[in-house]
Amino acid sequence: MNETTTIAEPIGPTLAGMALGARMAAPFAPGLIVFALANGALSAQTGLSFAETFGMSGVMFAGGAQAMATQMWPHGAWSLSTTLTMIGVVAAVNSRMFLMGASLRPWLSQAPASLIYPNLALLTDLNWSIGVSHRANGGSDIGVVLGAGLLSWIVWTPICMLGWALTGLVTDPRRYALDLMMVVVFSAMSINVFKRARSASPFVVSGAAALAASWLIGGFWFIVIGAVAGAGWAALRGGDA
Amino acid sequence: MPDGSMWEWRWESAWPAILACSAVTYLIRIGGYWLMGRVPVGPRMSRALDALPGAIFVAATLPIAVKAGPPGLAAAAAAGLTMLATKRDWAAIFLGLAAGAATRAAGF
Repeated sequence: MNETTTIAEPIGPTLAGMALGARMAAPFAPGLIVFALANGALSAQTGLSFAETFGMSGVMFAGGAQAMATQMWPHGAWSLSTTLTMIGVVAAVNSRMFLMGASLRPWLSQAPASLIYPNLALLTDLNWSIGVSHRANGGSDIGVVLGAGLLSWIVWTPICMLGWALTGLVTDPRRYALDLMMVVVFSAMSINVFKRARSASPFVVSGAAALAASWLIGGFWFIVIGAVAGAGWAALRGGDA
Repeated sequence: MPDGSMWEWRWESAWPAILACSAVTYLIRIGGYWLMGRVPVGPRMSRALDALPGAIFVAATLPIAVKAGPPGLAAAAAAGLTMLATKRDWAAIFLGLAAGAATRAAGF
């Protein structure tokens, strides 16, 4: 798999690795700030309190799921069905994280579980993609994942609260192409991973399955369906897939 | 449940939902990682895990970019090509979002 990769870094997490992760996440901060302002403003317009907005932004800490959940916030009282529906939507939007975590196992399991499980609370699209890009470049310090995760929490959460306070500052995230944030981040951060890949066929399978699923089923499951199809293809094909 | 009344429950606080959504999100975050420590990783599973990051990238990006139309495709292309050419992620993010916003502002 990685026979030829020379790994000079320690597993960490080291402070140097965390600083590197934070530095790698810094270019994403401006986009994150505008997205957070929009998310906070949406919370305020929907009627969430300051504490409730903090719960969704800082505790759940998953921007896409937060935006979807906020849009289905009940106007009156809560019921079991509104709660369960919201949990279902949040789980569907976040389902990709299940696979992201699985993909990090061979790398992160070299560090103690007591260190990894708390750190996974900060797992997002951003620090996952920075981590796998760094890993594909031959790096191994898991501090990179942690540092990028911490930086994004430190930027995301207070700016969401600021957006809540300054309702209306950014009301149309589409104008800044922020609805395409994941597309842009993933397009950029995937380059190192693709350069290292031995075969393109799993990615073709993944893309075709994801496109078909998004057309036929809609919703949010196309990411998981496509990714599982691509990884499954790599497993079944054998050889050097 | 007596007379199936739990569907009739009503309450004012949002915190049960907030805490449940947070807990479910954390379980998803650790779930895949945990599971991969419980299944034997032979050559096939190892190839699957090896292909997984790229497969996630493609599956997440392609349908969203296609559905968004020209702005989505422009944003993805600008970000990917900038990264390929310059290896500077800040430039890739900036040009990706700029390409998306400009294409949209131009009316596509």
